[in-house]
Amino acid sequence: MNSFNANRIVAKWLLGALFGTLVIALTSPLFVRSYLPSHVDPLRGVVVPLAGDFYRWRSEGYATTAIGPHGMPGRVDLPEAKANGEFRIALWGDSQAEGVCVPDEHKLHRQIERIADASQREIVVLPFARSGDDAAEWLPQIPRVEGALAIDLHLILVAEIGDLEMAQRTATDPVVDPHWQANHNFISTNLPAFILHAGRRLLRFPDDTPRTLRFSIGPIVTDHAAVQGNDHKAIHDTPLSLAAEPPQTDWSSVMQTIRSSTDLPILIVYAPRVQRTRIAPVAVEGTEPNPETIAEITQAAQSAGISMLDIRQAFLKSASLNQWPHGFHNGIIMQGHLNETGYQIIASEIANQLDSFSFSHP
Amino acid sequence: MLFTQPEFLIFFLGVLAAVWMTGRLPLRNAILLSASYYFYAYWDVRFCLLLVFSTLIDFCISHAMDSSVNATFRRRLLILSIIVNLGVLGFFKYFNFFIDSAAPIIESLGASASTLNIILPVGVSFYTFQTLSYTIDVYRRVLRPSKSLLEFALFVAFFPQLVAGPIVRARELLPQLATTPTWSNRRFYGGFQQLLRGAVKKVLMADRLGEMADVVFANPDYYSSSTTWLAVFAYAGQIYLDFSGYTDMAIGAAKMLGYRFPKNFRHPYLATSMADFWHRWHMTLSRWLRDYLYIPLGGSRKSSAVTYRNLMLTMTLGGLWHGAAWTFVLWGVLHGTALCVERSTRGLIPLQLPKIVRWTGVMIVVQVGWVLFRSPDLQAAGIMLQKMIVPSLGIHWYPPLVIGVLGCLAAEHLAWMTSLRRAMRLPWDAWYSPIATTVILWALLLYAPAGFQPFVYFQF
Repeated sequence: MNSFNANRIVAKWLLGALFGTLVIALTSPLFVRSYLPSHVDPLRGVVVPLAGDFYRWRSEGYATTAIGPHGMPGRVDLPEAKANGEFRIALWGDSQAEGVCVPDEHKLHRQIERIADASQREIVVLPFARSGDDAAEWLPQIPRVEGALAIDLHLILVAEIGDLEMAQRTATDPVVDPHWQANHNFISTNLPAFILHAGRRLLRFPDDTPRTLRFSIGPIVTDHAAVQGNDHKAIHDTPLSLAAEPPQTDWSSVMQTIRSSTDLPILIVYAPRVQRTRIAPVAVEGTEPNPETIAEITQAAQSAGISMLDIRQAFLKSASLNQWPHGFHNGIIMQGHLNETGYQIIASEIANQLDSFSFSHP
Repeated sequence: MLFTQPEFLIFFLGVLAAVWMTGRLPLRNAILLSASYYFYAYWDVRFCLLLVFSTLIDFCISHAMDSSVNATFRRRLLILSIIVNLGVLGFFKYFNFFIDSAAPIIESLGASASTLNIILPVGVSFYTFQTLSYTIDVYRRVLRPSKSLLEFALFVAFFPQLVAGPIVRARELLPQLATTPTWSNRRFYGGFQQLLRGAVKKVLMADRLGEMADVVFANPDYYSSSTTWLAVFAYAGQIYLDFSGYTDMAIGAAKMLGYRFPKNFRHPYLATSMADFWHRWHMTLSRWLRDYLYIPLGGSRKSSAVTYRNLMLTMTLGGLWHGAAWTFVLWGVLHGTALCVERSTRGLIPLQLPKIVRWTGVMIVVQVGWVLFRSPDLQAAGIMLQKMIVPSLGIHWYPPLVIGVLGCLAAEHLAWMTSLRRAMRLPWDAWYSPIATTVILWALLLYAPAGFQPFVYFQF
């Protein structure tokens, strides 16, 4: 092969690689999530994405979330002054409350406002939920936001009751180092998401630990150890155990800790996953406490002056009609995060409950 | 080490460089043999002892057979080889199955029917069949035994096809191992593209389908009929794409090293008869069963009843080869029955039946077979089949990716029947090949499901 031909071939392949990469760059937003720059919000004191950005979510649900002031997902407006008669709710929770799996108009805060609007009530819900947060993260933020934003009620959505136990733990927000923050923001601002996604997949395992390569010979005791007979035939869904008992927790103490974070009303909304099981067509997820324990927790909350709203029955009823509150067709129905149906149910229940609160009018 | 792991990429690049930089044959084969044993030891170094044992036994037996003219002695050696090879397979793969199945009888005799904690060596079903074919061919004098232990050991352990085939005949591979391959740009590129095609089938398609199939087959009573049907199609797609994807990667890797492997699949879901299906699905196993089981039993040369018996025996044992469970046996029985019915109705049913009708009949049998093949037990298979026949309520779940992948699979099958077939191979001289190759590489990096899923046929 002469050098002219070789050069032609190399040029053809380089050009092809360029065009191929361009094709991926143009189409990847349909399939690849966003990687957004972030900052420590001065009001909340936690790391949030920047207002004005759009967060793409592409697995388990499919949505693009507009980021508003103070990193609020799906809420881009925040009037300076509170309107006359307006009732402001701060929504706390984890990814279940954050709602990046659903479009903004179906997120919980919008659904609550829509229902309230239909019944002539002026309610504004400020979504402060972040993926991975629990009570250890919510409680320090509560006093920081409530005065500045004229909050009337703190609404805490929990899918796992264990998230409340963390009230007695110290919050550990991961990013304090400004250099790390600056580097992270430079990369996420200047590199397209598909490059970041590719890099992440190359350098990290699915559980986000740094990827290591193994070249040593086996056997190695891992999840992919030597095949034992017909493994895929032996995969049975482990029958869900009877509702797991959490370790002994002093719920009175937990609720007092939550209560002490604010003088404002608090409404805890308990919305665990419901599933089909081998022993019942619908049941609460087996890892959650049994009804007796939930009743104890509710009692402890009430004793501490905290209202509690239990969504379980509403979820079970919906699931029995084959309208599952969790899961997406591009995930697994019945598993994962709350979907539009789930948020509708929760919003209705909350809207009914809000009538029992005395509003403080500015 | 899975073909789709980064470790394999590094390993394979190293082997490629090493073999193509060395011109001398014994060294080339030694490098490949060392690499193959390392590849196997990566799973479990203890398995290598079995491989060595199998290699040495059959090498010695084949030479003893070849140097003897005593028919009885030769026959005894052949039987010894069969007993050793099938004994290894039987112990590691079927001991617990037989104990569990015979437990009521064993216990009624006052003995204990306890099973053993046996680890199934990866690839044992494949390399025992491969070495068996070698000794049988030597016995039949259609093949001279390999003079070189190195070449024979490499034939047995050659890493691209060690763990899940294709089942290569000695007369196909040994002559290639006895000569130094010459470099060919076209063959290297073709091998690379085939390797890439296999990775796409496995990583981007099969694993996505498996995400649905695994969930529905684990709890078949949860889902609606339509979801059940979709899951069955998903599994049908998964097993084809997973296995043919692996085969493509094996054949592609071998090509890049300078060797030719036989085809193992020829678009089986285009089959318009059961016989045609088995001429397209896992072709190297089909021909092994035909040449070493069906034909020695008498094939179709004797009466119809004997032919049907031979078909049923061959397909039932073929089912059992896949796994130690009654669902695999039933799968084999189903296919055997379908072949018998097809054979017996030849001439009764006009061949002018539209192709679409014949194709639909084949697909129904094949899909029912996959339900048996995949279900964890007979009860689950029964639930799935009932849901497929009787409309029933349940969770509705229609993953867009599954529908999309199945659509792509159907489109690929149809396109393969047209002049697009060449284009789909991304020929070296085509202007679109660099663009498509780049897109594929990015897609593998970006869109693969999280985690590495083992190849389905590794468990066989």
